[in-house]
Amino acid sequence: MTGGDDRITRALAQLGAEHEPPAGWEDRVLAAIEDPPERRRWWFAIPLAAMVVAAVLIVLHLAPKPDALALVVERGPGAARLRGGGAAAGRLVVAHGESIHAVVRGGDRHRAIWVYRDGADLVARCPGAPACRSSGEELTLDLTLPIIGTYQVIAWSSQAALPVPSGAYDPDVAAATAAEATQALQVVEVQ
Amino acid sequence: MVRGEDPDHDIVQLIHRGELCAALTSLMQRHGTAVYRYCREELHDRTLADDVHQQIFIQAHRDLGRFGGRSTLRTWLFAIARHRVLDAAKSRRRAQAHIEEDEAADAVDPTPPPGERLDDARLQLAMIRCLHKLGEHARGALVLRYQQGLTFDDLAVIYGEKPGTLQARVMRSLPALRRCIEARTGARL
Repeated sequence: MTGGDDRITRALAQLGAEHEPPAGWEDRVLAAIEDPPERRRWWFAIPLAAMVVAAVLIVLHLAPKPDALALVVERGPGAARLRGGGAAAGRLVVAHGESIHAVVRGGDRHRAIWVYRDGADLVARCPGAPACRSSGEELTLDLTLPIIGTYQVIAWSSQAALPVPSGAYDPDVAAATAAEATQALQVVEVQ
Repeated sequence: MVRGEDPDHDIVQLIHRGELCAALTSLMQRHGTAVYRYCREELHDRTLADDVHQQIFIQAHRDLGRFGGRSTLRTWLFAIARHRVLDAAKSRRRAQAHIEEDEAADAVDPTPPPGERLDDARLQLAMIRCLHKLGEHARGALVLRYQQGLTFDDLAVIYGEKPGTLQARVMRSLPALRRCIEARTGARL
């Protein structure tokens, strides 16, 4: 290496000696690494989301399903057997002044029994009637029917609260149906 | 690498303990100014150098966990610095491709009076301009070798070339640099 080259290498060693980094640069670097601009790896959430969905599906699948709504209407105790004049299929026939015993089992959380006469007027509702009883598994109604006619005994079941019946058959049935309640019907002929 | 050979062995220990923030802080305190001066000389743009300088240490923090000790920590850091500087220079060239070069930059510096030795200040000024005319390979090797004091073994790690190749490149570049300086200044070194 020549003497001139030596001088150049010494000058190279002093290259930029007057330059200093800008004030605060270290703090800016530390701030940048604490809040990196890189995008979050959103796809890491996919397996977690899949696990959550699977868990929900398993819970729903394993959750106990309610028994189907069942309505049984019987003649009350002491009712006499009627001679002749058999009832039409599916209809219960009772003598006027006799009572019926209606029992609802199964269904969802909210249950009710509404009794209408001749497809028009509400004559009793349970809950609400004096002889209405609820035991958790069963909802029962004992009702005396003094007036001859055709009675519709309807059991309703719904996960949500049932609408309050207005007292008229058609709008009450429409309202309960619109609320997605399930129903069981027993027609009772009072003779 | 044998324990104790790395002058930054204490920072390497912080890395091994997972104390990356502490390691970065020490790295910045110890080598921040040297890296900055390297960026300024390579880029000749203060704003760009400021930005690249910070990016180098941000990347260093990100890669600290992967430092394998195959070189000194300082060499590893300058390898990052070189790549960042090259990327920035390339981006700038693309952005300024339509701009004509300033021919005034090639003007010969006023010749000193006969017998007067070329002073260091004028030498520095001429050297900066002549370095700019060298290719990146030659310029980078000269700056890292003499401004930063890296060995040819260190340069071999950074460039991915053999130490002998880099030494030959540097030895060829020095006379070329000298001739450029003498042509610009009219003085003999």
